[in-house]
Amino acid sequence: MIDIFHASATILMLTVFLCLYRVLAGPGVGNRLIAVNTIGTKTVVLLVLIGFIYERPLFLDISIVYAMINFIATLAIAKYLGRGHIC
Amino acid sequence: MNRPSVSRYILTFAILISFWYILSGRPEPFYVGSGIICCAIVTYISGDLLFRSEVSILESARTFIKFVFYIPKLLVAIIYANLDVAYRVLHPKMPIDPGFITVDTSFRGDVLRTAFANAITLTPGTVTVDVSDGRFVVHALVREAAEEDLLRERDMEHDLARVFGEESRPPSDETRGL
Amino acid sequence: MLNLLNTLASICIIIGLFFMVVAAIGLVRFPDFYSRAHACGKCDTLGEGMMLLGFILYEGASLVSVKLLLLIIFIFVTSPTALHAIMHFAYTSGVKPWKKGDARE
Repeated sequence: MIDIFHASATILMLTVFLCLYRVLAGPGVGNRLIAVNTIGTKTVVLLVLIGFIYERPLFLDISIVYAMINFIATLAIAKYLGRGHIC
Repeated sequence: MNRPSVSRYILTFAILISFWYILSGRPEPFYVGSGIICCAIVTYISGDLLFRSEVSILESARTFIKFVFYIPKLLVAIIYANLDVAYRVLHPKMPIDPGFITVDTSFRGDVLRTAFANAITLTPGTVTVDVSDGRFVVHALVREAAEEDLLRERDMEHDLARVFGEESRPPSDETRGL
Repeated sequence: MLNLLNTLASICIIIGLFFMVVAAIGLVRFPDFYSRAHACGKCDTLGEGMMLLGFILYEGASLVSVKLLLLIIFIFVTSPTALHAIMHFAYTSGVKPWKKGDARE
């Protein structure tokens, strides 16, 4: 079971690099923002995986907070780019 | 301004304190006490956000239960949509023909519009782009198939309208490709 | 019994991993912004949900599973919403959609 966790963590890291290519190359802000959002969702799963591999349930709380920050940051950046102000 | 009744505050507080207990997971008096203080402050500030005052609690509960029964059907649609996208991504020639279509609905409630937009986003080949006054601009990965689903059959629209207790208008044949 | 649960968990994790890899490949391969949003919005949401479901099956009934379930519900609500915010910004700022036959970006 722990082998599967290690393997999936490695594959997730590789997919993060694929998304990073889109962040660097993607024309325009929209492509970059979507790629960053995707990296965020992958990071949430990676944090849960790290928690299970090292048997530290605390990482689960970190992943919940990271999911919230990812959502709110994406919303705030999209709103700022669309309107020029957030509030 | 009509203040929300006390029962709404109590219900909000109960939900918040159960979340606190799930997230902290410690029954010691210090943690529960600080949870009670924090939840009380949050309930005082934003007690009328979770249950809005124009909808009764019983009606909200009924809508919620009906929505829970609708979830399995949505899940099947989501899995089908993902297999569809995966097929199109992995196919060497990438058989896509993207374009915009417009869907007119008579939905009025905010929650219903949000649910419909998210349902469109998660079902085969379509993503909601813009919403204004019940008119949804939808981007489709394969335009003909999406027009077939959203404009002619309108299964999902009828289902969601039934779940949230609003009438969905009979389909108008006004289709407009952008 | 434990073996069966672990096998189910492995299957769920592998399916979820497949969808997340598909999301990344689609993000690189698709020709324009809107189709990329299709790939990463859908496949990422379901892939993450399936992986977390696998962790729930592996963990069994405990407080950790409840937290994971909350995380799944949170992601299924927020991920399409965030995607919609980005697409709305792109639509109002006039990002052109790709038509069949155009050149790749």
